[in-house]
Amino acid sequence: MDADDFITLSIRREVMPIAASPPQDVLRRFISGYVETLGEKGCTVIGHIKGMVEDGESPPLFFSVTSLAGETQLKGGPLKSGTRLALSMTVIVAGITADEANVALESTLAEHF
Amino acid sequence: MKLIIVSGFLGSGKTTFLLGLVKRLVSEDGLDFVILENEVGEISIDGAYLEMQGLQVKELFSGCVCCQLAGDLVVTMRDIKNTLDPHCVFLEASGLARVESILDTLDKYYRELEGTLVVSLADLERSELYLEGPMPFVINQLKRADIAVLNKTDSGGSELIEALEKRLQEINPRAEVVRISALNGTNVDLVAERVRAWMPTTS
Repeated sequence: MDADDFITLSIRREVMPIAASPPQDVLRRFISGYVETLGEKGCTVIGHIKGMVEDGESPPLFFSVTSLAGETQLKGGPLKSGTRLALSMTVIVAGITADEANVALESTLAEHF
Repeated sequence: MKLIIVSGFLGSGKTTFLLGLVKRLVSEDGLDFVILENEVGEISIDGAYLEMQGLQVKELFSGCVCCQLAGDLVVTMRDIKNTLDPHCVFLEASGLARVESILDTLDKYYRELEGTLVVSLADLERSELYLEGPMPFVINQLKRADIAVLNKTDSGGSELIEALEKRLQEINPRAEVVRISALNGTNVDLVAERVRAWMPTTS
């Protein structure tokens, strides 16, 4: 496997959590669900999934995941509950196409936001 | 103007390490510097994080400075020299970067540098990358290092740390291996000492 085998996907999106839980909990569930879906689609390596979420007032919440089994690392925040959030995210993975990673991302986003 | 390239595979802790290193060099040595952040994604995440910590950051994203953005790297280095003229530029390469290509580009097109130091991180949490070696570019990042930083030592036992340290020494016998935990700040001082020895700073 070489550097060219990794695909990169970036999104910037305004989102509103469906659940009433604290945004950081929603984010953890969203990332965990996305990583699980990537694995099911044939992703072999999570290079890095990282991003930040902003509520317009609090310090941004940064997140990072580096493995299919790994826990989401969070830094910053906490964010306010019940507000729209600006999500910026970059996905660098191997074993699947950018289209597959994007479809998985959109479906997981729709489950949580 | 000198250049320190911080390289290492995706998620190996480069940004956290760089933040800790720069803070030490600024607070103790008054180092005048600029961070040049390179991300392959179309959105700068690490640059935003470093800026939030109060650091001066220039960004090159949506490609890698070793290939697609090689020209932009040279232009940006010239711009930094002409406008800010810091003592040192810290280039955080993308995790997919081929360090030898960055060095080749600078050697051909930007020879004004007074020195270049390569610090490459290895990630204990992903020790299989180095011990089993399925990704040649990851091994090559370490082969070009002057200092090989074994990061996330808080996440594994001493046996694994020793095995990986031995492997890093095999990959690059020229580089000194320093064990750290960038997250906890453990031994980042040791790397700062090595950098100071390489680059006398202004005060």
